[in-house]
Amino acid sequence: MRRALFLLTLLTGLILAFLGFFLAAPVGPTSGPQISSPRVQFAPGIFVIGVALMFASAVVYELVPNGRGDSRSSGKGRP
Amino acid sequence: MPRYGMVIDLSRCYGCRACMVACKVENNTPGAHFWMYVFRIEEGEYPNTQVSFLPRPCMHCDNAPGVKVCPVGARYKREDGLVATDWDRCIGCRYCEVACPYGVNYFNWKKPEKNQYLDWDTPAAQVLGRVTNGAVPPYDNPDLDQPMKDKRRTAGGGQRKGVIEKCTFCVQRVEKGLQPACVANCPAFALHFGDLDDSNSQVSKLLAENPSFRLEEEYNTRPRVYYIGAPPPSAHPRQIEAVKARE
Amino acid sequence: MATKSETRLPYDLGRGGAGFFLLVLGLLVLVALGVVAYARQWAEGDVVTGLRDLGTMGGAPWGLYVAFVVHFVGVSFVGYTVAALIGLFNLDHLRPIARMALALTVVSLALGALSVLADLGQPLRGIVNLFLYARPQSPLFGTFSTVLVGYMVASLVFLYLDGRRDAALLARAPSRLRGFYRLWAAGYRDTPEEQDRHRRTTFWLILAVIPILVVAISTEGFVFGLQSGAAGWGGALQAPGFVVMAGVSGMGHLIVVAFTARKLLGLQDRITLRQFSWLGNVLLVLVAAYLYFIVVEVLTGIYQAHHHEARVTRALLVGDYAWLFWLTVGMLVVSFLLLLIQFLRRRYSLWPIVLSGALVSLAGIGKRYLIVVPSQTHGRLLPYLTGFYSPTWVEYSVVVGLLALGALALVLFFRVFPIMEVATREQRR
Repeated sequence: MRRALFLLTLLTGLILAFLGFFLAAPVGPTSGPQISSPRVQFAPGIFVIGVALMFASAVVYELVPNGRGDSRSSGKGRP
Repeated sequence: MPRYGMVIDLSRCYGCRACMVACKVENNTPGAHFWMYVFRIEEGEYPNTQVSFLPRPCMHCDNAPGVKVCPVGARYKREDGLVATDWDRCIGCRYCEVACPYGVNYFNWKKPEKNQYLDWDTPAAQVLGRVTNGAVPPYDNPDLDQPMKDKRRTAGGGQRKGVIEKCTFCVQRVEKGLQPACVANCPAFALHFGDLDDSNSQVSKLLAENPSFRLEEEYNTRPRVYYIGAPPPSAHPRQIEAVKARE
Repeated sequence: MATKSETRLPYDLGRGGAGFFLLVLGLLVLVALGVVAYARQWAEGDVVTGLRDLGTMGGAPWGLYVAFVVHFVGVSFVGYTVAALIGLFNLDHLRPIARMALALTVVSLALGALSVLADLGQPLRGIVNLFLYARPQSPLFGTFSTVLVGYMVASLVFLYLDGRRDAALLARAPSRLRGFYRLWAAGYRDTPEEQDRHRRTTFWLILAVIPILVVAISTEGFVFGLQSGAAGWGGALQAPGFVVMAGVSGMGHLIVVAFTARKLLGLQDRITLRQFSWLGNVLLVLVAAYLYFIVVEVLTGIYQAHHHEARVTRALLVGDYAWLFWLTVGMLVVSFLLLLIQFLRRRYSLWPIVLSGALVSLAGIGKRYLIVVPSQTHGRLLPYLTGFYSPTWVEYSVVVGLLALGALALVLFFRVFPIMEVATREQRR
C-alpha cells in the first residue's frame, strides 16, 4: 500500500514534470509567434506541480502506514 | 507574408531628430522615452574630428535577444517580422531590456501624470480638434490598445505602469498600409521602410545597389535595420549632444 | 518526567521573555519600514527606486533587488550541502547545525521569491503569468521553477521529515505546543523500522537534490551568462562562479546564524568549536576557489577583452566601482587569511571564524552587486553615455525589511521548534 502510493506519487510527478516541460517548450521553429507561448496554457504550472509532487513523494513514503506486504520489503534497498 | 525591414541612408541623415519627435507624437511616449533615437557622434582626435549621425530605432532582430529571454513570452516575433510586446502579458521584469545590445527598451516607471503632448480638457485641444477634424495627436490612440493578430497586443504607447514598451515600427500604421511615423516625417528621406522579400520594394533596391551594414551583427542578432551611405561607426565613437532625461 | 504542570521544553521552546519580545519588536519595526517603502513603490511605480532605463537614460534597470535575488538564492545553497556532508559522508558531529542550515535555506528561498516580486513592475501578474506562460527557453525559467518552487518544496519536505522524530519526542510531554508537535509527528513512534525508512529517504533526497541544486544555481548564472546585451556578462565561468559564490555566502551566513543561536539560546555545549572549525575549513576551500575565479575573470577581462569588456573591467578595478570591488576582494582575502592561518596552525578559535563568516556574507552581497550593475552602466555596446545607478531609500528599506523578515521567521520558528535534534540528555527529561 505504502510502496504503491509512493511510486504512484513519484511517477505522477515525473510524468507531469516531463509533460509540462515539453508542452511548455515548443519544439520546431526557432522564430515566429509560436515560440513565445507554451503549446498548452498552464503547461509551466504542470511542470512545477510535477516537480513538487516528485519531492512530496518522500513524505508519502514516510507517512503512509504500512499495509500488508510492505513490512517484508522495507529492509530492501537500504543504502 | 511580407518581411518588413528598414534601410537608413546615413549619407542623407543630418541629425535633425525630427524622427524622434514624430515617434513621440505618434506613440505618445513619456518624456524620457525615445523609441527612436538619433546619436550625434564625434570620432577621431582633434583637429581631425568628424561628426556623424546614427538613427537607432528598434532593430526588430530575427534572432531577437529580448524574445529569447522573455520569461513569459510577452516579447514575441510576429509572422511579418516585427518584434512586438504584449503588454497585457508583460510582468515587468525588464530582462528584455537588460538583454538587448541596442538599448531600445523603455520601462514605464510611473503612472502617466498627464497627457504627454496635448491635454484633451484644455480649450486649445478642443479648438485644434475642430480645425483638424479630430486629427490631433491623441493621448490614448485607440489603435494602440487593440488586441490584434493572434489575440496578442502588438502596439504600445499606452504608458501602462510597470511594463516594457519599445519601438513597434508603428505597427498600427503599417497594418493600414502607412509608413512608420519616423519614416513618413523624415525631411531628408534618410529612412526607408518596406518589404525586404519584395525585390521591387524601395528597401530591396537600396540594399541591392549599396553596400550596407547592420549594428552589432557579430552578436548574431540578425537585425532588420540596414545602414547604407557610410561605413559603420569606428570602435571608439563619442556621443555629443546626448539626451539626458531620466524621467 | 512530566510534572503536574507544563514541562519545561528544551531550547527555550514556547517561552517568551523581555529580551525575546524586544528582539521581535525591533525586527517588526524594520519589517514595517520595508512594507511602507514597498507600499510607496506599489502606488507610485518603480520611479521611486534609483533604477532607470539603459541607453538614453543612462541607468540600470536591474539593481539592488536583483543583486539580492541572486544573494538569497545563493545563501539557500547551504541547507542541502550540510545535509549532504552529514548524510553522504557521515559527518555526524555536524548534526547540531543541520536544522539551522535547512531553516536558513527555506527562509532565504522565500526571501529570494519576495525580492523577485519586489523587482517586478507587475508583481501580481508575475505570479499568475509565470504559471500560465513561463518559457523553458528563457534563462529565468530555472529561477522560477527549479529554484523557487522545486528546491523550496524539497527543502520543506526535508525539514519536515527530519523534524518528525523531535516532534514525536516533544509531544510526549504536556505543553502548550503539544498539539502542534503531534500534528508534525503525524504518528511517528521512532521504531527501528521508521528510523530505517527515514535514513533511506534522506539518502535519496540528498542524492536527488544536489545535482538539481547545482543546475538551479547555475541557471542563476545563466541569467547573465547566456545573453549578449552588455559587455562583461557573457562567459562560461558565470555559472560555476555562481555555484561557488553560493557556497561561500551560504557557509558565511550559517556561521553567523549558528553563532547567534549559540549566544541567544546558550548552546555553548552543543555547538562547539568543533562545528565551527569544520564550517571554517569548508569555507576556506570555497573562498580560495572563488578568489581564484576572480583572478581568472579579471585577467581575462584585461588581456583578452574586446574594448567594451575592457571598459567594464576598468570601471571595476580603477573606476566608479573600484571602492566596492576592492572592499569586496579585501573582505574575501582577509577571511581567507584568517581561516588559512587557523588551518595551518591546527588551532582554532571562535572569533576569527565568525568574523570570516560575517565578512564573506557581506562580500557576497558586494560581489552580486558588482555582477549585476557595472555591466549595465558601463557595458553598453552602442555609444551611449556612461550610466550611473544609486539605490534610493525605498530600495534600501525594502531590502532591510526583507532581511528583518527573514531573521524574524528564524527567531519565531526556533521558538516553537527545536533548533537542533533533541539530544538524548533532553530526551530523558
